[in-house]
Amino acid sequence: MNVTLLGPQRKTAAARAAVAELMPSGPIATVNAGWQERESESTELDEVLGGRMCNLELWRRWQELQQADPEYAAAERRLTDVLAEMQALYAIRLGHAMEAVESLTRRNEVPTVQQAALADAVRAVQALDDWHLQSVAEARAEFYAAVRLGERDQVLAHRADVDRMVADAAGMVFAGGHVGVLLHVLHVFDLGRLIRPPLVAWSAGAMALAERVVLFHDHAPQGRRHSELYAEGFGVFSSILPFPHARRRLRLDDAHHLGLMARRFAPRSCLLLADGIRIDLHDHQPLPPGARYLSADHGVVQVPTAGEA
Amino acid sequence: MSVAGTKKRPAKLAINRLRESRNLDDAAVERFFRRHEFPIVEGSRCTFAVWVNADAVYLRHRVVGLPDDLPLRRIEGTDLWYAVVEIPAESRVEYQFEVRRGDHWERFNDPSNPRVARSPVGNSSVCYSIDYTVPDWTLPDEEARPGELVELEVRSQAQRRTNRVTLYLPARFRMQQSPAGHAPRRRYPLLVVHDGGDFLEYASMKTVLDNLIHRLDMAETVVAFTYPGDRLVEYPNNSAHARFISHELVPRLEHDYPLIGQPSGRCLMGSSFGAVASLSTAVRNPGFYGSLILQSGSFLFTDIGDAHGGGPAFDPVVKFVNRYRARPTRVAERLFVSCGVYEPLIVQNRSMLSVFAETGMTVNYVESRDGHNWESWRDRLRDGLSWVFPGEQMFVYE
Repeated sequence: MNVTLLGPQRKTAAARAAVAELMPSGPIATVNAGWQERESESTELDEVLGGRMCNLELWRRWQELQQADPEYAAAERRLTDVLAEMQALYAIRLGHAMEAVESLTRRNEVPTVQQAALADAVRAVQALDDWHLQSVAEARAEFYAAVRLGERDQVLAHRADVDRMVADAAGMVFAGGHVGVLLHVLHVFDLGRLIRPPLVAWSAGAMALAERVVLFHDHAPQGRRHSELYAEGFGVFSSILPFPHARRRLRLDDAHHLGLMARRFAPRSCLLLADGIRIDLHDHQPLPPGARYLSADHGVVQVPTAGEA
Repeated sequence: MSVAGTKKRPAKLAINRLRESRNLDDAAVERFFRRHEFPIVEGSRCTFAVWVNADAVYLRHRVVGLPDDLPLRRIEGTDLWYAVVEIPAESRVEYQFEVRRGDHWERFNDPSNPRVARSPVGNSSVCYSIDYTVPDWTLPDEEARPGELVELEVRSQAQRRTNRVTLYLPARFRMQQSPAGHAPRRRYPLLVVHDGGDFLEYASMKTVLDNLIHRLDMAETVVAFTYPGDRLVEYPNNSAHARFISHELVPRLEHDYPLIGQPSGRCLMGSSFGAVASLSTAVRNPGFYGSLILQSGSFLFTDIGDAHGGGPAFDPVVKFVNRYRARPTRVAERLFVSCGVYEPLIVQNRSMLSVFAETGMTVNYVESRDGHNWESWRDRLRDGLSWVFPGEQMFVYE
């Protein structure tokens, strides 16, 4: 699916321009549920969208569902606890697996032996990542099977409401915020079947639409933390993992670290989404010129532009 | 012009330029004090100076490594006393001057230095060496929504008294419970702080919590600030204290408030004797707490004999620590341990790390160039709190 990914919207010029170009008229179905309590504080976002924002208010709807249905709310709570524990245990295992990878990179007395061991250690990390994603998907599937969302009247009413709003829209916009909350409410209201171009997404919005959601923050106050797989995304675009706020969140001066990330997440490309950037992705096409991504051998590299090729 | 905080080292120290000036009269000295911030920080050299009539002047501090008796020199023909001390970058040093006039001794803060550190035992002047800055998250931030402090009285059968507890509820705390039979909508981790009143008063902990939670550095957390009776008795491995914390306070809070109620959602914290109290309480209740924050623990021990040098108050501490070191046990999943390298306790704290680690506990150890004081503990709060109860920074991409 064609999609336009933007860098973080500290300055909103890129979003303003992309929306004006891709959705010149008509209402714009907007998801900013990642803002949580601030979902309704969207005056500025509406202005960026030319006053045409049609806020799907998924966070507000999700809150209402839980308020009205204690049984559902309790199930949500249990799911949250299970997912948090799964993430915590995965992080422990990941820490040890990554430690093995990094130890191997430091020992290079016989390069051919080291390369083979390192490649296998990376595969072990990838296997752990895959296992975690699968486990999370199974836990979510069990949750959906247990709560039978599709049989609850209030859920169905909200979904019908959302369906109408999206059907009448000229396009869709996915803003940033809490990627876990965003991803979850998109599932609750079954938005996956409604997503269609023209489509603009940034930050957490871009992450949720990818095949996989990767959490990352090299500069977190609690110290260095490995990037973690969180969940499967909506897979609106393939083979690309977006990394917004890369300059603020990644050690971009550490080519070794970035190279390991590139190897770990291969064959997918780690796309850096800096402030102000715009990347137009087209179905099954490689990254467009100018896009910056992580390379296993060279840290951050850029797809050559026409003049450079 | 002030030179404090500049990185370039001038060719000559300001004090030496003054000494070499031709007219070294009172007016020149007065100008010198007016023109500089004190102590004067020039690279790693810090000039401490005081203008006072005295027979002798000493710099009093508690920095391990510097001489105890650090005398200031008088510039001949003046009452200006000074000492130049090498202090590494990013250091914080609390100090006072002590003067002798005949048989009379007097101790006071540096009159030329407005920076004062407060503590339960009085105030001290503070020297910020080059590159030290007060962390911005310790200062009030009007963007950060303030949490609420609620006073509780908690009856303790174990201690046969009623204890004061100040409860911190984060800004967006919601008490709401779902109807009976269902889990509460949201549950919070619980941090129990020894010497809670002092952490609030002298380590800006309410401000720190507001800021760290606002910045998503730490999770929204309910914090119980406790107040000891006689801390020298209660904190070093006291069974009544441990029962109060683990069997009375925490269960009551978990009953009354929407708390996680699992080890991963419980943390005990303390500094100095409070760290001993945290560890000994956890030792008596292994597995009940998921995490401990131990700042500058008074972990005095002996390898042979009884001479620990800490005085009688430390006897029960030494007994407890010796026993723990002989048979260390896994008491929690994760320990955050911090200590200032200028503290007398730095060696003991470093020695405990391998003991903790061999039990399988995950240990996060942080040192700072600071001493045994409340602002040092304040400055390490973000490291500890964000590690024990991390906020949602990893999840939020605006």
